[in-house]
Amino acid sequence: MSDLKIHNISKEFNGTAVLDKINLEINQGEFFSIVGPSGCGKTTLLRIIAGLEFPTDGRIFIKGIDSTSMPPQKRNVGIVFQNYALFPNMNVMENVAYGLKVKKESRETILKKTSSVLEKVLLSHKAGEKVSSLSGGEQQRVSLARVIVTEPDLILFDEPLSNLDYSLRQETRNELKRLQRESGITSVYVTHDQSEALALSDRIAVLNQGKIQQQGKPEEIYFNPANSFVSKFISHSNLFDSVLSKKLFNIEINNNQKLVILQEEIKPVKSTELKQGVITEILFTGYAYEFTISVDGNIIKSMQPLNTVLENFSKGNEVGLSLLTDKIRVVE
Amino acid sequence: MKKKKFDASEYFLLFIVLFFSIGYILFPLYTLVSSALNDGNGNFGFSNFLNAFTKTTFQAAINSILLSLITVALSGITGLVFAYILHFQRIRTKSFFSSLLMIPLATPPLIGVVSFLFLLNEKGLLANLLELVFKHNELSFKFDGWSAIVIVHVYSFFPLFYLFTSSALKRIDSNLIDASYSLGASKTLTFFKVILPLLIPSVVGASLITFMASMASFSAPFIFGGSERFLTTEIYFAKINGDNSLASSIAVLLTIISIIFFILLRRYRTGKLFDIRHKGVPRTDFSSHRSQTSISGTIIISLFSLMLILPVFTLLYLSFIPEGSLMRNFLSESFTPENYLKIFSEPQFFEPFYNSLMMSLIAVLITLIAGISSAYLIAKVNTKFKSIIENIVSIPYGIPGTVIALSLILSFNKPVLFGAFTPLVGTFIIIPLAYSIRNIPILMQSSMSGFYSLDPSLEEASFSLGAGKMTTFGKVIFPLIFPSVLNGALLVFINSAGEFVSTILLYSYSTKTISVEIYSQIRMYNTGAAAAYGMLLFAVVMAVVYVSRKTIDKSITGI
Repeated sequence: MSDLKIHNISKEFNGTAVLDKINLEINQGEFFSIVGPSGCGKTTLLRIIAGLEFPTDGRIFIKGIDSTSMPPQKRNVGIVFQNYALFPNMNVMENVAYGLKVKKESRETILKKTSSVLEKVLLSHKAGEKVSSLSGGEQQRVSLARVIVTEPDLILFDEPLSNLDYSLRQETRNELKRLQRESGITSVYVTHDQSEALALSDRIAVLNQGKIQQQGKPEEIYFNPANSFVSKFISHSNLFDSVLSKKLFNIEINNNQKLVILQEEIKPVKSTELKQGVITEILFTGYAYEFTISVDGNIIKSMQPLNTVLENFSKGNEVGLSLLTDKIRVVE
Repeated sequence: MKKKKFDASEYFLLFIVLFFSIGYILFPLYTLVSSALNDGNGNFGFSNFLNAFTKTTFQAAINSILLSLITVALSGITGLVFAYILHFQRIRTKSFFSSLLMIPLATPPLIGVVSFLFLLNEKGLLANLLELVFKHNELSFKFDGWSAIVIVHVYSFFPLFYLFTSSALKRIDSNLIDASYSLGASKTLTFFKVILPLLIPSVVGASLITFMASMASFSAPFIFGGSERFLTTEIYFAKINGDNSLASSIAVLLTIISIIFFILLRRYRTGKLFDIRHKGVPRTDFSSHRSQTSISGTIIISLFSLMLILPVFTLLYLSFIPEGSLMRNFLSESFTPENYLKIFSEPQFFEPFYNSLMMSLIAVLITLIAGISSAYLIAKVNTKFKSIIENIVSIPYGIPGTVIALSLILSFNKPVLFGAFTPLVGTFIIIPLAYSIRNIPILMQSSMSGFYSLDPSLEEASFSLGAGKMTTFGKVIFPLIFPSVLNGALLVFINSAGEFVSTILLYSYSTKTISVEIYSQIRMYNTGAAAAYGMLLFAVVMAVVYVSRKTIDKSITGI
């Protein structure tokens, strides 16, 4: 039995459909991400799971129980907010203890549980501090501790890392993954950052314009995108129509199809016969070179890690294109 | 906020808000207007207005408007000049000065009037001092009429301009000034082309508020006005002479003028303010251009501080001088605490003090209940309904105190539903009721600012952790809005403790307040008693200001 079942959920705001017949099943202990561009409806879906919004149509089952019209208080679903939503009138310890106090747990239980969870998030030494004196990463850990301590059936993450700067984001991401695995609580994670979703998740659903475009394991989605939206959004792939595909790579595809080539699967070569395009930009990003190559006005991106054997290119070079894969993937 | 359905507790709040706004805002206004339109024989029409538009009323209207314009101009210049000079001074002098500014801001209008009377009167402190220095008696001060009213007005209203302008100056990005210089503009050109335009919204806001307050001002024209007529005093005299229809006609006229300016103010606030906030990039404070304190600056500040303190000092001095000294040269008198002892030992002298405190507390309680309820509903419900509540509850801010008192008298001189079917005129409760009506907008605004600064996800976080509506309100929301609510409540208390304008029309022998008592002591030339009452009131107000600053700072930073 799945921990969370979303059945045919639709949501309209003032006549505009925000979610259109969403179906998802999320298994026990799974880390599931919903990823999509802003405005795709992912936050609305999360709020519907939490009970902060109610669907126009469809049903929500949490642990097999129909929770569609249950208020948030009754759901036993924890939320980690983007802006942390820590109670500024309480210190770290009181914030974490809040959910237990509300449930009228005994003092000893509250003390025991909060101390143990603060230890887990490595914040025992800050228990008595004001939440405003903590760093962004620490605040986010308190916010997670506050949820974990209540042992919810489900944790919902609403872009929890987007207020953190880059290096802290990497660090907190790993921490979060560790805590989720240790606690074993089923998690639904909403983000617009596809790399974050890929790194964290057991499975991913890609959402666009209120519809699920594809769901599956990170590798499946990355390497086998279901449509051009997914391939663009998840892997920033190059897409070629049938004419270009024939002309450049001699690969025949149907007219309504597009050839998908990942950025790391194509590289520029200096060749006397093959002069297909011109390098218009070379960016060095630290771990890779990123080439922008223009072919008859079509832009092709190539990303080559430093350890690949590369010739010495400069802007304006006429180059050929070499495919590094023999896999042919097409999307509609 | 999203549209949400009301539950039982929210319907209860709605009931409170509707009861208050219909019973004590709309109903009295309705009674006032219908009394103005009723010619006494049961015919409705504008005959009262035509009768009211005699030469004297017309002159009073002209005087009131002229007084307000002069007040705005002089307070504006004073406030702006000081804000600009002080902006370039060192922080220490500045914070000292701005805490001194609390004196005219928090002093009840009547106390301001009385202290100036004692300071600048022909037998006042200044005259006595000059006599002492120059050793002859021929200097005669005439402190009454227009000049007296204007001086008191400027004293009371220039801090408003100072505060508005200096907070606008603080918000100006110093990069703007640097940009102007680097583009080749001179200091003068930069002032007129860059700084001044950014100050204009604040100056206009302060001007509108000052204009309204001047139009509604009663104490100064009442005491210094003499034969000069103003709209507020005309209403009072018409009422005292028993001519209700004349009083209400003038009241309606005054209210219309005030409300027009009130609407302008609200429009202006929501629409025209420049947005000089910046996204992301931290702003450089323009005061980084600050120079050290100059000698001329120090002299100006010292003189000015003296000017701020002197009226209160006069009051303090006179409160320790025996009764009736205003007739003699009181510099030769010896100090005595007898004025204070009298207030605290004789019950009939203590009663006004007690009444004022009780009435202010009741007013705070009523405004708390009705104000928080309205603010809660405004923060929760959908837009159309919210602006209706907000607009109705804000109306009293635009209505002069004299008019509120008159409308209460006309509404509650007979048994009606909202007076619990007993005539309220002459009772104790009608006075705190008037205070509540006058101050409800303040409490609503301060609570609203509390609700609006709340992050809505805090409430959601609390819900998702299993807490119900009540628990969430008690443990999360109320502690967070408390500082704003407290701020409003203390302001209501301060305003009520020294209220004179509506009290003078509503009091009866057994419900005298401290302000009414000060007035009657002055009429009897009992300067000592008046000064002692004034000092007591001043001390209470300042204690509240002090406590509020402390508590509010603590509740913001302390937890």
